[in-house]
Amino acid sequence: MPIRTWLLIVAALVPAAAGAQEHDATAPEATPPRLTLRGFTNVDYAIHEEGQPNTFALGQFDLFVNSALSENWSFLAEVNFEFGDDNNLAVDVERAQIRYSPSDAFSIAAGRMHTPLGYWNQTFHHGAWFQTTALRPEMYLFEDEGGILPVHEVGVQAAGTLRASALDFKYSVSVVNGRGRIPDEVTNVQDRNGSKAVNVLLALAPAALKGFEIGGDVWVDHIPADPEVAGREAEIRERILGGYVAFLRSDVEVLAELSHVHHRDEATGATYGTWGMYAQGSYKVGRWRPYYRFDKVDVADGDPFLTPKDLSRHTAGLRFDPMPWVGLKGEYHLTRHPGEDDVHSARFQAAFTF
Amino acid sequence: MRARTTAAVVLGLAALGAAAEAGDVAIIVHRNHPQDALTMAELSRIFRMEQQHWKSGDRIDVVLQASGSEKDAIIQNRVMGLRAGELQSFWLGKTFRGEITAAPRSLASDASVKQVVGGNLHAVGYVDSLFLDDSVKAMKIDGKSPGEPGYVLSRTGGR
Repeated sequence: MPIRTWLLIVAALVPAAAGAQEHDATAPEATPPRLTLRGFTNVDYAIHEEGQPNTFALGQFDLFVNSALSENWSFLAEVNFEFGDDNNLAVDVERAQIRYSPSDAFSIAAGRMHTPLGYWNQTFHHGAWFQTTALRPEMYLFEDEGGILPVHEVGVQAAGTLRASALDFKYSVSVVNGRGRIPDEVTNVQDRNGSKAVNVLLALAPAALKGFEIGGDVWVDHIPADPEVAGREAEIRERILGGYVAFLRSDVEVLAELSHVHHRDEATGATYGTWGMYAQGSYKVGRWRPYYRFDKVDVADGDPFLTPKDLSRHTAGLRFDPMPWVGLKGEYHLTRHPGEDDVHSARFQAAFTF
Repeated sequence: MRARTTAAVVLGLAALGAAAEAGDVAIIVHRNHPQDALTMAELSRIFRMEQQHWKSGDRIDVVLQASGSEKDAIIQNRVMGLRAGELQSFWLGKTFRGEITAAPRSLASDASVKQVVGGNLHAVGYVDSLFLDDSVKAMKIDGKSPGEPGYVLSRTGGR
């Protein structure tokens, strides 16, 4: 019976396809899409970060391409050339997504995207020029930098904005490959288990308070077992809950986000709770923008998946934009690890787009 | 005598130029566009490309001006909530986030904008209200037309 059903469907579709071909033959030839290329990078000087010698550092060399394939179809990608702590070059396709956007209320994208976990991760990507600060918040570090969150996702994502007179309601739903066996592994071409991760983000933007947005998200996944590592013989259930508030005007920037990563070891039933948060504020005066951020990450003791890391950090800095496409930043960090001496460090950055 | 004549011509041209830029900023659409009015909040979303479709479902074609005039400043400041010099980085950010594929086109004059909007049922742009004619339709904003007291895009500051 299912075969007969399929045959009926195919029989119904074939004339429609033939008709479309016939129609296409008489239609004017379409113009090929035009590619736009833009670059972002930064050059830094870091003083006493993580106990390392003072150093110049090349930032990520980010090539961004996008293209409108038609009125409703588009493509974008970010290809990133970056140097690791070992000074070796690595190339990553950070984003590559095709999107169909037939309306404001609904669009669907497929590919590798930044997971809409909160505000920062869907707003700032790999170009440091966009962000006020030199560094990303600790909770949003990329996977290969020791981040605690799955900031990249590979799969499909539906999103849109529903409007009422008093507020905008934004949503995003992702069904994607889950985490890999280790936090650094983004499952680009092969998921490690059959279950897919799901992320849902909801946000409200009231019309009465222009620039204000409040939102929350939930991510659920089954992290695959890693038989080669002791204690990782079973899957781990993961649930991430996050919330954020953002208030942005031309001169004012206030951001605050909180995320809780819950892990449950399927073999032992043990549970682990990890927290990450940051709060950032800045105020623009002409070409100058002084800023402050507080970061805190508290990884659960004994978490079988995440790398142990507990820290709090105060960042105070000043950004100066001598021209629209260049941002010069200087910032001081006070970092505290439990049971260790305070670490004072600084970073200077020239971030630009070209 | 010749210098005096030249000065008079220059002054006359300057006066004409001032008169030509003396109207309110009119938001224009195709004369057969089904909508007649927008709220300021809708207008802001449209010009910021946060709203990219008309109520009919058709994609909005935003047409800006790059004439460097007071009109541009009124649209950027009052409608889009941006300061001088922030427009291009604003578009770049939206492109990078995948919200748009390209910035809206910017034309050099009222006449160019009127020609494009008058020929495109889904376009929206702005011109000096003194240049309005039957080829386009001026939208009411928050219930008021250009020239009416309290019009939000008047040269004198609206409300």
